[in-house]
Amino acid sequence: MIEKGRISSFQMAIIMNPAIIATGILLVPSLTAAKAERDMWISPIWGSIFGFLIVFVTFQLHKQFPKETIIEYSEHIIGPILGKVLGFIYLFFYLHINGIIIREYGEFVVGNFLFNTPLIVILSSMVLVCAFSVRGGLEVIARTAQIFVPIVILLWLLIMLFLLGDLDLNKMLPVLEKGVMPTILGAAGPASWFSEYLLIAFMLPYLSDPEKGLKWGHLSVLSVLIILVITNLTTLLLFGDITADLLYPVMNAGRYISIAEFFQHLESIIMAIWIAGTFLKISIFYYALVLGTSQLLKISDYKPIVFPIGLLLILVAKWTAPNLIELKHFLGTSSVFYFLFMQIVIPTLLLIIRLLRKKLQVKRGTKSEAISHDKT
Amino acid sequence: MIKPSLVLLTLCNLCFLVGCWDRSEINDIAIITATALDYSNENEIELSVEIVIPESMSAMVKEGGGSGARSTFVESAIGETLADARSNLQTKVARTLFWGHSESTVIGEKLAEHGIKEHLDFFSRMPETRFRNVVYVSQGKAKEIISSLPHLEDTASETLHELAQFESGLHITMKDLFQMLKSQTGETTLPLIKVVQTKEEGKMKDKTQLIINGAALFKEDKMIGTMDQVETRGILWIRNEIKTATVTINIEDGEGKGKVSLEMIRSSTELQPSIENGRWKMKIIITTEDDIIQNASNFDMRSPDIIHKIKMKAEKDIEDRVKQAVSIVKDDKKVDILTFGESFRRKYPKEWQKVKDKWEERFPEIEVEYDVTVKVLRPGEATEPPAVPDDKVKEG
Repeated sequence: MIEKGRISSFQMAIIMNPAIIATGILLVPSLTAAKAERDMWISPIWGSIFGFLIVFVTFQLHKQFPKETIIEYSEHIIGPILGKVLGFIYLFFYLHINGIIIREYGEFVVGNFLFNTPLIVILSSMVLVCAFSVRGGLEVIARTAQIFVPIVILLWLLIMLFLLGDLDLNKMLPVLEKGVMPTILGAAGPASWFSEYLLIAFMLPYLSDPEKGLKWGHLSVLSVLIILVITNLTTLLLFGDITADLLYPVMNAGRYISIAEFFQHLESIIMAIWIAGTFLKISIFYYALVLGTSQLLKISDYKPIVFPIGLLLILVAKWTAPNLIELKHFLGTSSVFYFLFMQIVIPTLLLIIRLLRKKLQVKRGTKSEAISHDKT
Repeated sequence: MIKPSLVLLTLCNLCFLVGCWDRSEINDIAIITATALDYSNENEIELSVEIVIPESMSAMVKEGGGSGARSTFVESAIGETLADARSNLQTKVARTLFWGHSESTVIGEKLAEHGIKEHLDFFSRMPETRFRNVVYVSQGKAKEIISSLPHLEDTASETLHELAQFESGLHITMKDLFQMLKSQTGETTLPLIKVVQTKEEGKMKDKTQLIINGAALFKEDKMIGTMDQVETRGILWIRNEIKTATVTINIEDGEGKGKVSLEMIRSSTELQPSIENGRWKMKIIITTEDDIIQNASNFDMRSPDIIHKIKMKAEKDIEDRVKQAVSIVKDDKKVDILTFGESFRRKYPKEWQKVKDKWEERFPEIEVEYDVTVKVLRPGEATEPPAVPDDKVKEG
């Protein structure tokens, strides 16, 4: 095995939390509000169904091939050639999605704080830091997550608490004004975020307690769901109908805080949440990409390819969209199908093929057994 | 022995250390505390900003202030859009303009009449600006408001901010304004502010007073009229935003008569919409708790009968105030700043969908009912009126 480190199921759950919420809490409120309006807080609940589903599917696949990642077992399921092709597609997918995440990070920093700094500098400094943590291996990422995630959640909680006084419950009424349909349409954004739980396919083989993987995976989805619902609810109760018009509603909310006239201008806290969270998110996607590449190419160690792939990531991040408008348009429209297809449909198909084949084998097995019985 | 690769890596890292593109020192920025927008001509607007003079502000803090010297100055520029005016303004100021601390925005009356939404967009798009800054419409030029030098605070911006906090008039932040403009009923109202220059005794000659003088009413984003302070207070009762109020009533009973003033402790208002046989009704339920703060009559405030009479009178008085405000908004100006539409939308979402496009016609037809309850809790610190001889005190 290429990865020598071992993590616990609990650590896996902790890594996955910022892997979803880091970009989720900033972009999801606005995306869901655009479709679901006053019912935007319901949308993540529909979206989370995909999260629970993919954790279940990945875990079932893991049970079939306990020591392999999705790159490796796809070869066993659909044959060596098709499997390799699928592996390549997955690697390109992870290169692309990670490029998008890095770009989102860069756009936010440039758009809100460092207006004059070239984007490339911000992108490459982040990728460099992530490269070090990826070189450290899965254990290092897990431990970093254990340190950062409580801080991120605490800061997030602080922002939500400080806003309590400015919230107006009337803004969420009437509930389901136009029926359930808008909330389901609004769920498209959260669903593509939740589908990123496919990443656990790269961690399950390295668990020290794999039997708890399913339980902690689902708990992790639940924690993300709670955070997204509360974030959506808070921005809705604060901004009401203008939530959809804001690019980063949580950022505006952070700026809105004013406790006793002197405790204000808290956007730096949002910035801290964002940087610590995206650092972990980029790291784990980066890790999956590097590990997958070395498994597909059958390299004995993944460390030498970390920096070259980092360079690729920077380029993809730069090239992925000409501007923020197209990036956001892509995230709100076609990306949903793209992400869901890659991260939900294909793994589910893999599992179905695997189970069908096994059933056929068993049938054939019993038949041949019966024949052999006859003979004797 | 140091590895060459390690040296190379360290050198590469140095590249990241020099990247101070966005370094902005405190002495390179001009801190803006208030923004004023005025109509200039058909195509252009005038942007004025109040900028802190750091030296004199720190001197004021040290000396305890009040020397009459300004701690801020006002600079203005004209441009096609707000952003355009801003860059013209930048050429007049030697430091980078910084909007992060702007706490109040004043819109000139004339600009308000021509429409405001295109200019407000700037405040939602520019990352520095804050949604919590308070917004006013000025009577006269907005520039005059932010140029005024008030008695109590050091700057006009601080006064504007404090006035909003005090909530004797409307308290509308930029966020509220966007929400009002966004709403389906197009209900927008902003507090009116006015500068008063008097040469009365007891006032400093070079100082001026800012007062809230009612409210401006908007249809969509254009100002269509104003209300005076008394009428605005009625609106505040309905919007459940009233924080301080003194009710003075006349009571008469046999030989005793006179005025009694009550001070509001707390109050809450509930709007109860109902649709009966296609008739849209709105019930305004006001519950308020009051203390007596002045008894200018010769009644004994210990008598529960008298207190009951006062209660009835006060209820009538508040109802009249609210009625007056409703009639202006509903029958005269026909703008739904009372959030009636929102209340109906919450309770009757289906019916609302049908009428939301015709709300303008529908709103004046709503029947309004009033249900005011005043609770007189305490008679203040005196019982009988201390200034009235015992034999003239009436017990009701």
